[in-house]
Amino acid sequence: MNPYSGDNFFSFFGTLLTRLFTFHGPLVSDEVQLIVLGLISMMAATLGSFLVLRKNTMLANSLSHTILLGIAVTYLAMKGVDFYQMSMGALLMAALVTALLTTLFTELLTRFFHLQEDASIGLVFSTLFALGIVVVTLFAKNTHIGTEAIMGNVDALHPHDVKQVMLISGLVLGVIALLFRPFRLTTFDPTFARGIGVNSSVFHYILMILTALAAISAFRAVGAFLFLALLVIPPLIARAFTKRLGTLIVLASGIGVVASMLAVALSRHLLSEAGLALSTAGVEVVLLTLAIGGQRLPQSSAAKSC
Amino acid sequence: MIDATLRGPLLGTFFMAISASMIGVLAFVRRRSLIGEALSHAAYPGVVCGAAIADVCIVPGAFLTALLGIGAVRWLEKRTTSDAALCVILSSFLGIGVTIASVLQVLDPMAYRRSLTYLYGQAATMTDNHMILYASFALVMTLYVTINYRYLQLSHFDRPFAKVLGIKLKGIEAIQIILLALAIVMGIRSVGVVLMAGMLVAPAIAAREWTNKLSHMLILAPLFGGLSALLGAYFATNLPTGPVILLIAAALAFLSMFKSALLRFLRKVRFRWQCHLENGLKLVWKYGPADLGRITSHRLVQCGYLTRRGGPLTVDGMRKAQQIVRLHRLWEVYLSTCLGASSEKVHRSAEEMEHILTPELEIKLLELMGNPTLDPHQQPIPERVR
Repeated sequence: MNPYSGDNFFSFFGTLLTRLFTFHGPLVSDEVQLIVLGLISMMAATLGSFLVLRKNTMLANSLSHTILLGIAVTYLAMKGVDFYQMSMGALLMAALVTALLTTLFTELLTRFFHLQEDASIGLVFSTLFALGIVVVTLFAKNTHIGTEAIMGNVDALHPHDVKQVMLISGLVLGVIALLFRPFRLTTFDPTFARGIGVNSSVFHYILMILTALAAISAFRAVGAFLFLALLVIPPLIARAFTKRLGTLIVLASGIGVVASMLAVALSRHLLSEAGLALSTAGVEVVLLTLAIGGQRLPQSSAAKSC
Repeated sequence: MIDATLRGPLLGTFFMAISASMIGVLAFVRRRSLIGEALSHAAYPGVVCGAAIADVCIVPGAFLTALLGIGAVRWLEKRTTSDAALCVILSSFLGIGVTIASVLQVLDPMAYRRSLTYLYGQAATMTDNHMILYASFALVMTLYVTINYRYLQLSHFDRPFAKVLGIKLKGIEAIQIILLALAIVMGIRSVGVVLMAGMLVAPAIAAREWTNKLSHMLILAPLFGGLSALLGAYFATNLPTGPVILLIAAALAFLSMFKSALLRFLRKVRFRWQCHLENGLKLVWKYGPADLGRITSHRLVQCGYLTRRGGPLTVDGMRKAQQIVRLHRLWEVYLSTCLGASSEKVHRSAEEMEHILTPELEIKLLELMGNPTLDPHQQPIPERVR
């Protein structure tokens, strides 16, 4: 008995506000979606701001492919862990495995084998993803990874997922807040950082581990690959409005959260009015895409990095 | 010979891999390997829309959205970093595809199911028609590469010269993009949207480890790719074909990279051994006969530099040792007079350089310094050995 059923786009917000202010009962699925997507967007926007500035977005893409392998390995290691009920420990382990595998592997290719960076990233993510599919097919055939890995299924979210996402976002945002100054330093002036003895490598790995953690916790809601959109697009939009890092992060998070709200409202509207059950995560990405399309992004001449 | 049901998947993926590898080499050489990743994800909405209309519209639809994706990447690249541009297009097009797919899931489940086979690929259901189509495309690709080889070579390695010659670089790039999009769009039927980028990159990486000539790479890469496809399609029994093909291609790439690393290592080892032998010669020349150890002495005797273990140098050995010492001391003079290094520090560098200096460099040094007779430690510089 969903109080939002039958709502169109505007009455959605009406219902939301009434429920907010009257502290009405337990959370319903629409609200769960809102909170989960909102938190994920905040995490993604924050991490993504750093990733875009450090030009590590393709590495983040690699991470989202390797997640499949990380989760499969964790599943095997902790027998009987259900993909859809992963505990914090399992999540952390999967994130660690994913991040370390991807980053170490890529560095092995560029440092030891002297392979060019774009080719090494490409080789790493396709190999590890193929490996993930093979592992899943061989050992975990009964779990529905397949399309849910790519698209996620927001509608299958449960109120207790809210708690888990809250914990993870708290952790991620907390670590970033704590290590904000080193992150900022290693992002904008790696040479100076090296000069004063700050080990940039450590912070690179920390950022990758945090991204993997966020990606895995978002895995079920938005799927592995759409998470990348939440990582990259809000910071780019926000970049059109500010040059300061702090403002960028806050603005990007805001854009992400607004997009989530609009996405949930829109899917509810389209479901009620037109009977179309759209993938909410997909809708959010479409909204962000439209937003970036309309932006007058700053013309940067120092753009080419490959 | 080959089972009829096996023929389509086997040969179809084979020809697909050949085309993908060739165009992959061209992307690799430009350091734009990741464009394949963006294109294959951008093709996905086209796949879904095509599936909604008719089965035969899937490939054209994918082609259209892939080209649209490229245009979008170009537009974004002017405004932000290129890696961010690729990621934006990657994910946003995929998201659009996902949204449309979720509608399709309700409206036309059969079409939805068909579009899913393009996500991960489904080589097993390929028919003879597919095989003919891919073979034709592979032929087109080979012809293009062969006929335009000089133009491709120039446009990738010497753009200014190409411009001077009046070669239409924009045209070449446009054709390349179209071929890339076609290769990807056809390939996603067998290995899927997600893994297609790997099929472009892995064979090129493998080929690069065996040669640095573009022409050889364009022959080797399709060989590696085709081999992976054949082995993968043949051996992937209860596993999906796409990932297996990719893993084999990746394995070939890794083996090739290991080979190069091993050769590099062996080269270093050989050089170290050479230095060790020459140091032994120097020792005997300076201080008289000494036991240099069994293996070293044996090798030096074999080369004709040493008379016997623990014995004196041969005439050849004396000449060689003298030359090495000469180069050592010449280098010391060079460092201290031309670069102002102090006498204590020049010795270490000379210990390394004595094994490396060539006769041409020796002549250049002599020109720079006039014929010096003493080194910074007041030792005589031996005469030039004829």
